[in-house]
Amino acid sequence: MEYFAGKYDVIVIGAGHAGCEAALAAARMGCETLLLTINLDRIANLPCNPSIGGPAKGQLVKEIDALGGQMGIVADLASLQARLLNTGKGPAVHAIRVQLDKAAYHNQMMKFIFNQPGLVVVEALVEKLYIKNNQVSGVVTRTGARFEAGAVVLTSGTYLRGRIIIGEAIYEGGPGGDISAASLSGALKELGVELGRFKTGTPPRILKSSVDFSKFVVQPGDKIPRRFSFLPTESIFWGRDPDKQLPCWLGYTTKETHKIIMDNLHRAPMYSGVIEGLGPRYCPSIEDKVVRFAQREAHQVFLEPEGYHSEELYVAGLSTSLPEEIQLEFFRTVPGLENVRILRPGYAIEYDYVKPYQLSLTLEVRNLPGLYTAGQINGTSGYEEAAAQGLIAGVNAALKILEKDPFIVKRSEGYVGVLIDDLVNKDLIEPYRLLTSRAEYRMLLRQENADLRLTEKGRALGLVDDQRWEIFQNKQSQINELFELWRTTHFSPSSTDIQELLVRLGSSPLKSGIKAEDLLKRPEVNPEHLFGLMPGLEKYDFSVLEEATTQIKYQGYIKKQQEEIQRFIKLEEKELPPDIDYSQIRGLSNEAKHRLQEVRPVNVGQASRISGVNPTDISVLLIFLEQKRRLTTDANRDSK
Amino acid sequence: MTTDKDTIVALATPVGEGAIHLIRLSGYRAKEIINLCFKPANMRKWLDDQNYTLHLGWFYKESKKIDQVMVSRMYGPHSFTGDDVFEINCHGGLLTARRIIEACVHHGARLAEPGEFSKRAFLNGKLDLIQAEAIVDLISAKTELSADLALLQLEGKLSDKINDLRQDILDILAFIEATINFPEDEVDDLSQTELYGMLLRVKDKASEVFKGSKTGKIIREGLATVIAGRPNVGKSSLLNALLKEERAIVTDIPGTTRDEIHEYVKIGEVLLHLIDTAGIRQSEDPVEMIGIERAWKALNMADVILLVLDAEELSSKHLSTEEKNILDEHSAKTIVLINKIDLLPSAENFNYSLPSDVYAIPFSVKEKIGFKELEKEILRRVWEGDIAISDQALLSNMRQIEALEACIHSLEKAIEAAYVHVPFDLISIDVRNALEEISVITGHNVQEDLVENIFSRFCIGK
Repeated sequence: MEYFAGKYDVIVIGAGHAGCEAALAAARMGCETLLLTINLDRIANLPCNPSIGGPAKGQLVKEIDALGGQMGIVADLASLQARLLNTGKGPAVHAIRVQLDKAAYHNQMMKFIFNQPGLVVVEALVEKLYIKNNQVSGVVTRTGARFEAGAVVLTSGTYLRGRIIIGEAIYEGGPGGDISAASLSGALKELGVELGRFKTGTPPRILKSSVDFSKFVVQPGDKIPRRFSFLPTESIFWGRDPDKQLPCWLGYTTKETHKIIMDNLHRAPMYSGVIEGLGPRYCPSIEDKVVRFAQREAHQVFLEPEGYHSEELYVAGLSTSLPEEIQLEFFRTVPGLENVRILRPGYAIEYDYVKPYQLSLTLEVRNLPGLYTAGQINGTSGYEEAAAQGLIAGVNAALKILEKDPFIVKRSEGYVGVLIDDLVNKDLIEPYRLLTSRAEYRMLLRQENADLRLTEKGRALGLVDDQRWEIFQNKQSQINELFELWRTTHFSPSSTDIQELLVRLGSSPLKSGIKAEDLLKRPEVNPEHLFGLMPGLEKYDFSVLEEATTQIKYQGYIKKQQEEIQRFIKLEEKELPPDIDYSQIRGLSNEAKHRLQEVRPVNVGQASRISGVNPTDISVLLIFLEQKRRLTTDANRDSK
Repeated sequence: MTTDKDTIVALATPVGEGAIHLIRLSGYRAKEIINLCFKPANMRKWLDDQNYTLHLGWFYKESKKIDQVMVSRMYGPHSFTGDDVFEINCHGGLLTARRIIEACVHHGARLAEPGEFSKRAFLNGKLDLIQAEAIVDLISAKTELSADLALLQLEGKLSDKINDLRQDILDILAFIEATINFPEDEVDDLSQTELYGMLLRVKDKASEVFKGSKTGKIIREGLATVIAGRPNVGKSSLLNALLKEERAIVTDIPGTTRDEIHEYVKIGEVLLHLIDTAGIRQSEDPVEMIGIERAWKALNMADVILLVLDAEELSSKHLSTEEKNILDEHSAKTIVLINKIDLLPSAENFNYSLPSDVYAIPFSVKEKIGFKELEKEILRRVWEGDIAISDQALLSNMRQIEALEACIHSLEKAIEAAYVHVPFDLISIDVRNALEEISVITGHNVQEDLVENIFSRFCIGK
């Protein structure tokens, strides 16, 4: 029996990484928000690896944080160890990666969710959407409760028609032993949403006390650990004492491991044809790696703690869906795992996803106004990608309720923009993972300037509180001050201090006077070297020095990319009216007509990135727009 | 991606018409580029920077003089396209015009797409609405020829070479990107020194292909040309006419093979290198004279075949087997000369049946009909890169050469950066540009290939 259970501004279905960000953002923007989850104990669950960040993903987390999102803060609080990756490869690809205590991550996020004014959380399984006047206007749960709202954000992850596969064992289910959401899939299909099917997998978890760590190499956290958040956060486990960080461990598979896998390949669902969904190439199972890279005699195995006090270890590198007994057999061939006890087997999971070409850049389903989708349901993988979409969907759902203009991050402004723009415009052939290679303006999208790029936007949305705003403004003015100091400080060749320093650094001595800003352009000279020689320099924050140095040292590259953006923006500013009938435009190729009709880009820039639309089609579109514009102005003139 | 902010350059006069050519350069960097290539005779007048003025001077590519030219200056918005426009009048012929365009490209302009000047003019409000349709036709007509088919236009060997080169660049970029995106995975570490070496090798390879570009060969060695046809159709009189016309130098150079005589004829600006003229002269029947095998070898080696047919016979008789074979196997490089056209009743439409893809010119050696058309057609083929030089891996059309030059330029920048130990992330910018530029020739999609290459070559995924 269906009954009316309440009316909200925004309903969010699912409390994973996308759902939490969406719900918090909508509530913080002043919307009465309801968050529905299949299982309250799984809020912000980390069903796969116990870590967040890494290249591109780290940048994404910092962007979420800069916009006033939650993921960065919670990750810092639940941090077991932090590392900065790619330190030698250039400033734009530095990336933080934090190992997490899974229970703490869940608990900390719960705190923010339950203490957020305007946000109500209820455990419920949603079975269908409630449609009124062609608008998605609420949801109906398994127990008959009808919640109504002006906008619904669907973040159901891998739960849609989820199917777990371990060798020959196959059963319906969501990740980590949860139930799957079977009927919602059908409900979406009935509403005309096109679904696809993907697969992903996770490795077994093992008992810590069954491992011989002497055969692994220890991987400690950084001596000076970084944080995601631009706010002053601290790990609840190691606070300010980096020595208390937990290590990870690195080991290798052996020939024997590979032999067992090869001998049992016929029992691997990926090879026996049981799995129909497409899996991600960047996250292959060990059986995949052994087959595809047969020449490698060993593959890496990382042991990562699941929690500070947990007895469980996550075994990165050994994702598998071979039968349970084979998993144990080959695990025991890894040096150090001879007596290992497996606590939970690895598995593959297949699930339905919404083909994202049906979305607009706000993540609203174009043909179902009022419905937004975010996270793994859109065919992405990764906690960070999910959270970023959740934030954008939540913000736009709230903006719709508040009757304000939508919020879109451009590709040139952040990885958030790259992610969503790619999703909508490209054909997905596997779960989408963000890579730094996907960003055209990587040099500008550095993790350390995420706040400079996005915090003002977050403030305008009402997501950035006073504390964050003050920290941001302070950083900005410090950077400007520092530039001024570098511009006005001169070094003379007669100063023995500077000449000695340069010799020591292997840099050529000065022949004439030089400004500090020019001296700092030398690759071997860093601000720390000048501490004694420039009074006042040492008072600046590390983050300020770092950002200012990057801007000075890589000025040329940065300027070039900024020029490219100017060209890029020109096409982004040419809007395409929503009612264009592309099939009627003369000169467009047939494929372009089809794809443009399908994706319905908002501007010419977006059109140019759609797979199947080539530069000639763009020229034709530009001329079409100009024709249309002139005809309209002529008509207006005539009617006057 | 090409955008409306690029500076574009192209020949504005039709190919093959007249000796004076006009090259148009348009865009926000036009002024900067012209200043790099043009040395005005009257520097003071040039520096006055007056709009709508005409200047005499020399055009240079780097320090090499190309031609004496007249440059007219029209600043936007009061120009044809609405951008800053410079028009360069040169009188050195088509190949000179081509060198001038190359110089502009070398300094950062890009070749205009078909209809692009008009497109800009229209978008800047310079052309009226009626003209828009025509521009769309012009632009979309090229779709079929562009990007995805680009590689099909290349000879097998060349496409192998270019694909090879592209693969090398892609491998380097994928290596860099894999180490950046998967720092903890099983990607072997790439050192700065190794990267430097890899870049140098691929750049050398690219330079080699570039040096052998087809225009260069045509200029140096001439177009290998065979005059073919039945006895008495007028081959030798054609040869003599070409020689007697004294349109150019005639030289006898002992050939590389035993009894071949090589003769050179200049038609317009293009040097024709006539193969096996000995056969034509001595027996009027090369097939009979030098044997079938050698005749076919000559045909295979030729860049251009001039097949002479008799207009009168053509309307009454069928094509011979040899003629049919030539048209079947070499239609693309054959120009049919329908000789003795003057003997037909003048008003009559001669009804001959030739395959539709064959280019035929009504011709008369005696009455000097058709020489102009022949010259124009040969020039057009040289210019547009339609000539497929057999057995040679050479780049032909200008767009390809431009793309390869830009690719080499980007590789050089990457090498410089690697030399001074700039971080990988920044080197990757130039390598990526190089890859995008060479992909213009092959018509591949960079983003998708890159991701594919990373995943197929490296064992990635913890």
